Amino acid sequence: MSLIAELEIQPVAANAAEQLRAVCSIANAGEDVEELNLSALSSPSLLLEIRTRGGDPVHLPPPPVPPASPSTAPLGPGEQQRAEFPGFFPSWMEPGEYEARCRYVSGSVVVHSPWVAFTLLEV
Amino acid sequence: MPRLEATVGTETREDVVAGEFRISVTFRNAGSEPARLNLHQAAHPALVLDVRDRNDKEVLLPPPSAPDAADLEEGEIIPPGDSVSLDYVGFLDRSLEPGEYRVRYFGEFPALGGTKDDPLRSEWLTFSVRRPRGFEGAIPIPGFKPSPEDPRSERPRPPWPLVLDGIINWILNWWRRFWRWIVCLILRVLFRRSCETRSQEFDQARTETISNAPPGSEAWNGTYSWRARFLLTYDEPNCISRVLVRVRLVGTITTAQRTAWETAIEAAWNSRFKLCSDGCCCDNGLPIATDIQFVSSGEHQVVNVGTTTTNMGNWGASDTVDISHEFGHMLGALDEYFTVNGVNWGAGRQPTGAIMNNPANRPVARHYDTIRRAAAGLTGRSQTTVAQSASC
Repeated sequence: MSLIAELEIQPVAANAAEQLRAVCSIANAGEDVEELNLSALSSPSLLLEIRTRGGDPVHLPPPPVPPASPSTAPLGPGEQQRAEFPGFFPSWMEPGEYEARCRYVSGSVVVHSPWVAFTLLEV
Repeated sequence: MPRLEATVGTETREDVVAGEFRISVTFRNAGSEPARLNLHQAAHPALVLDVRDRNDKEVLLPPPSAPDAADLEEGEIIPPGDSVSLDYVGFLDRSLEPGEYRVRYFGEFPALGGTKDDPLRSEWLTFSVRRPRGFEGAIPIPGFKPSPEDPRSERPRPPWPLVLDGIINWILNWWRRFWRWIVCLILRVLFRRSCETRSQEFDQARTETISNAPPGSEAWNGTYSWRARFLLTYDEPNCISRVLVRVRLVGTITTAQRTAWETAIEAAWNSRFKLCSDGCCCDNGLPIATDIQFVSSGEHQVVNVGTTTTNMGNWGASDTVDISHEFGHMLGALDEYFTVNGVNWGAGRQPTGAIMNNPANRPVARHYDTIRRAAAGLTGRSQTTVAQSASC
């Protein structure tokens, strides 16, 4: 498996949770076509792993009910699929420093991006 | 070294109804290396819960379901410092005798966090069971040898036929109603007690762990948390209970789309069930009227408007189906697909599944449990949820 994941969070410091936007990119760094599970990319609850700077997990609300059969798409060498999640961070979270990463899971494949730090500012 | 710790908690430990008693067990890796725990296997109450009565006699639980592939896997990795939680609901038989009991987590196999020599065990949690109101103990099956472990005494079957039984129950029922009417009359005349309107904001943390997702949906396995928030108004003079969820929208949506959301949600959740209690007002219960209100401040929830619905806080502008399911989460309802908190619901979107399984369908009484508990807290009386067309 030659998938790699990257996460970008904008802005890295926000006054309100709704201002935070996460963009997760899954890219095929190999030479073969990979089958991408699009359902696994369909919700921030499925694709994002968040924790406090102290390491405590921050759980998101549940994802929607899954489709009867997951939708998939081929991802050619050098291609990438982006999933954008505006307002991914729950509105009830306290101000503080957090980290997030993409976690793509499909079958036995688990791909993580590096952790990315962001801050919810005290207003 | 990995070092798992187990902690048992519950919201209520006094006068619980055995069949509805709920506990949660939190597993924390207090060691410096990743630990393994098979959460799927640990979700079977009979495998891990040690329940004792006041005399320290073991209370046997129903046997676990036949092991499946997930039961036999190595289990999930819990990184150092991380914790996961499992909820156990309804693991006690409804007919458990009232009294004091205690429960603890006890895993004596590696998949369950311990070994025979060094089991993973929590502290005991003591709780008391009350007799469920309106629940009649089951009639023994003729010729069936009772279990020696069954603590219930044999209930002799009255000799009169069922018709007479029905008549007596009818008379008793009316007698109880009459007696309650007398008590209420005294309260009104002597103590000037009247029907009241009570309102309170509620904010309840909700957590669920989904497991056992089939191939292709593995991403759904995990723990999710949110807050159920609403304003509950228990309006006795008008015999109605109103549940208001104020939502602040972020993003672009047309008035027509917003109206379509409101129509879909209120059609799904509004006036299907009612709250019944033994109070002096509203003999026929208080229908539950749900209301979603879009506000610019003072919100219970923030919803980001997008192209598709991706969870409780992100709704698709043109969606009128999945959003009704997400509104159920705002009311405190849990998902009902795959295995949730140890309960196996099967696949999602089943044709006959209720709204928390199939968003196109209607809710059922258990989906109003958070509202029911909130109403019980607000009124100080136990409440039941029954279909609006049924009598209390």
